[in-house]
Amino acid sequence: MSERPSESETPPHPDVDTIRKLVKLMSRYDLSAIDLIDSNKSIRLRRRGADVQPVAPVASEPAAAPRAVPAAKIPAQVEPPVAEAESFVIRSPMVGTFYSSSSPEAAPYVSVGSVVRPDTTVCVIEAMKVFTEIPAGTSGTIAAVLVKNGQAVEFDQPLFRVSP
Amino acid sequence: MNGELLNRLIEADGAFVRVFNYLASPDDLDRVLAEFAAFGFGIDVQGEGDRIEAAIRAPALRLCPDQIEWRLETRTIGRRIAVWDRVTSTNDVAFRASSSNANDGFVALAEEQTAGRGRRGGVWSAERGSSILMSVLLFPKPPLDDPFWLTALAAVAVARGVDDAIGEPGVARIKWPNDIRVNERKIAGILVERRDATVLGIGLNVNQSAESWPADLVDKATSLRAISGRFGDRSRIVRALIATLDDYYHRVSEQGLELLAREWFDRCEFRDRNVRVIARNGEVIARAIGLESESRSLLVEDEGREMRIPVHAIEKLTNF
Repeated sequence: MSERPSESETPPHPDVDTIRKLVKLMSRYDLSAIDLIDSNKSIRLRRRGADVQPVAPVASEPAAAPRAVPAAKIPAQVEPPVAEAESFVIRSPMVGTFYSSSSPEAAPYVSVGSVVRPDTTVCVIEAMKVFTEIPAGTSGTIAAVLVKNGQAVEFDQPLFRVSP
Repeated sequence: MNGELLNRLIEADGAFVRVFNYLASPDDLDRVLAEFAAFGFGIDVQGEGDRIEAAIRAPALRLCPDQIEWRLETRTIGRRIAVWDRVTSTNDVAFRASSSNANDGFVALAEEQTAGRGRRGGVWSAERGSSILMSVLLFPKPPLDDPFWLTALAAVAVARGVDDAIGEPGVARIKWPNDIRVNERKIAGILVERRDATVLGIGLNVNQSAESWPADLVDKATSLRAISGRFGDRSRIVRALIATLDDYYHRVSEQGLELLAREWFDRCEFRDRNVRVIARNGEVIARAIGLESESRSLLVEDEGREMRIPVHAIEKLTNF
């Protein structure tokens, strides 16, 4: 996790120790996100696998500012705008390792531009040496591959974006 | 997965084993047990601290790669194994690895097939988790590059596996050309497909209950469980089957077809019985008396007269 050096005048906030504690709690209870809203500060922590990252660069309002309306101001997890609403995301149904092809020598099941139907296999996920073929679950064209071959993936993690 | 502890428990065959020495740290126990549970092993635990003991009460419900592969020292078949949850067909998965000779002997297994194939465009369907659905990728040299003999090899190996699982030598018989039957009910099928490589596909009914068959199959199909009354350990059966296949594959490659032809004929349902053979150039009713490896022919006898019918000329063969 990255710590930002505090700006000259700004009080040391948010308390780094607090964040550390929160991150530990998230990991222990397997929470994927925490929003912490204090009168003039807001913190959002989101966790993905072991890679824990406090996302918002903490909207630090000047102390004298009127009560901030935090949630709306937080630059939420940078999500691709507009198109997102129309495209479909294929998510991982399980925890495991993502593979784009059925064997190291084989061609990938799909790549950007591939046309898929609901029953088209788009990748495999391996967990404890057992492989599961993942169907697209929708019809369309692969617009983006969101994970790398051999990457560990979490339950519900976006794998592909499909445009209709 | 802790393969060493798992296989120690399997060897102990239900007896309690002290687990402490198999763990990296005592805190590891919960994780290890959770992984066993994920495959559906029935495990009993007793004792405390470093005296904790575990025992296997029931085989895994799911195919377990670490059980199948553990110290499996085969030369070709099973050097690489992949277990799949759901595939179109394990033959498809095996063919996808065919671009590299390094995958010779690669075994693909699955819990479920969505488009399993049978002979002549037929469908092979099996209830999820009930069967052994297995395909072996091979680059066979003569004489095993001939699908008839590769099918025969698999039939003999599967028949032995069925005998062992039921505990009754000779109970599994071969029905021409590619089925294994027990008491004249089908328990396994074999399908060899050839493209740029050869894939040997095997389907073996293990844990289907007698009641689970569709009406049209009820008198025609059976499973290891329906016969023995016991829930079968598919991983153990697969492991033994891979070892048997590999053994035959190398013995036949080195010593020729004779031993295979003899064992195959001994296992045949029509051995020493009258059969009707429809061949390319005619039809004959005669007693089957052997399979000849040198001429690659079925040997039949009718009123003292022997005939050789080349196996590749046979279009249909039925008991008469």
